[in-house]
Amino acid sequence: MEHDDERLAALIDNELDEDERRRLLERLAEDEGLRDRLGRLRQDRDRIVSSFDALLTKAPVERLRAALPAAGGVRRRFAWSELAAGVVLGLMLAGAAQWIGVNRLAPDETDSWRTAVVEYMELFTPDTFAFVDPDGAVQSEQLKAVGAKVQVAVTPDKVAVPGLRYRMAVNLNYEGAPLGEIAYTDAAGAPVLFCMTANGAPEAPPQTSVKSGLSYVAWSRGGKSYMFVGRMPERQIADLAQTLVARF
Amino acid sequence: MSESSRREVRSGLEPCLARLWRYAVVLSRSPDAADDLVQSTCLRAIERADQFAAGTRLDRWLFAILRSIWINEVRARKVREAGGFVEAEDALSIDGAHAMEVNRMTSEVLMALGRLPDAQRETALLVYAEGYTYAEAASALEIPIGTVMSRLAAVRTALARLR
Repeated sequence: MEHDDERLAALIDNELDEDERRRLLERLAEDEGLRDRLGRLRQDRDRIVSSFDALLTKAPVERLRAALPAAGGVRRRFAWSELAAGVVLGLMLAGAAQWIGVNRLAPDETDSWRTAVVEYMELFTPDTFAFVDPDGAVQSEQLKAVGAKVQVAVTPDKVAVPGLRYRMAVNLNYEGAPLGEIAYTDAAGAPVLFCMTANGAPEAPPQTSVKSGLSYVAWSRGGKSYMFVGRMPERQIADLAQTLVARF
Repeated sequence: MSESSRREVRSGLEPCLARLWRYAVVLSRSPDAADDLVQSTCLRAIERADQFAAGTRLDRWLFAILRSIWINEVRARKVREAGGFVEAEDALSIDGAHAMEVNRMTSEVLMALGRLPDAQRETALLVYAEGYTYAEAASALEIPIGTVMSRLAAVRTALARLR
């Protein structure tokens, strides 16, 4: 019986050689039980195929395409090296997201995600974003993807900070919660990040802190937590954060 | 030759994204991990475009890259233990709330597939959904053809219970 199933399945999968196939078809012509068995196996196979196909419709193609500057037609005008740098950076950040998940320092702290952001931001240098310079259309696309994940409306205007230059926005993940990150550089090229996560934290007014030489402003509103962080004096980060605090 | 390989890889990535993602989600059982895996695969493909033999099947080449990244890098990091990965029971249903348009039978089949060992799930995807012959699957998975057949038999047994 089991052996028959194997052969019947191979018949359905078109894997029998001519002889085996002929012999099995002859047996099928004679044996109603075997035909029923074939029918059930075919049905099972069809169900597996259609379930896998259903999965295909769930693929976030738009998001994947947005993360694929090399293949899209829209961004061909950029130099190849810039495109590649953008992809590398995105992946580096994506890798960092997993790293955050693995090496969290204080999982019981409600703002442990902020600690994680600070930890991996220590890896950034003024060169980190040197080759990343998206145009308005790409910015909108990146921000839309982040907004959709974190469920916050984000647009280029809304995240614009006077004195800072937008570099990129990426989706990360912290302990299962989407973590959106928008990267800027200041006039000297130093990275500044604006991060947001939908972690359901209680309302908290903006507070400025320093950790590992990085200053940040942290606040929570409407079930979302925000953080604006850079390597600069506390007062300066607090000044820069004002526009964002007013909008988020 | 290498210039045509590069062109073919660059233009061929986009049409493969959905299928790459499906393979990634079948391997990782996590939509988020699948996103990362597809991105890493695309990057690696661009980096190694010279190694692609123009005119051969790009999709199969990309699948091989994705699989190797999954096995050598992502899975090796044991990210599954770090949270963020769904439990086997929820596996491929991509959570109940989102199962909506998918009919019940489909989501039951996906759940059942999600509970299968990784190797069986992957073999079923390659043969049933991606049309690999047993020999092609054996070569991609670096296993004997007999193992492909026994994995498929195990998948059939698991699925038959849903009837």
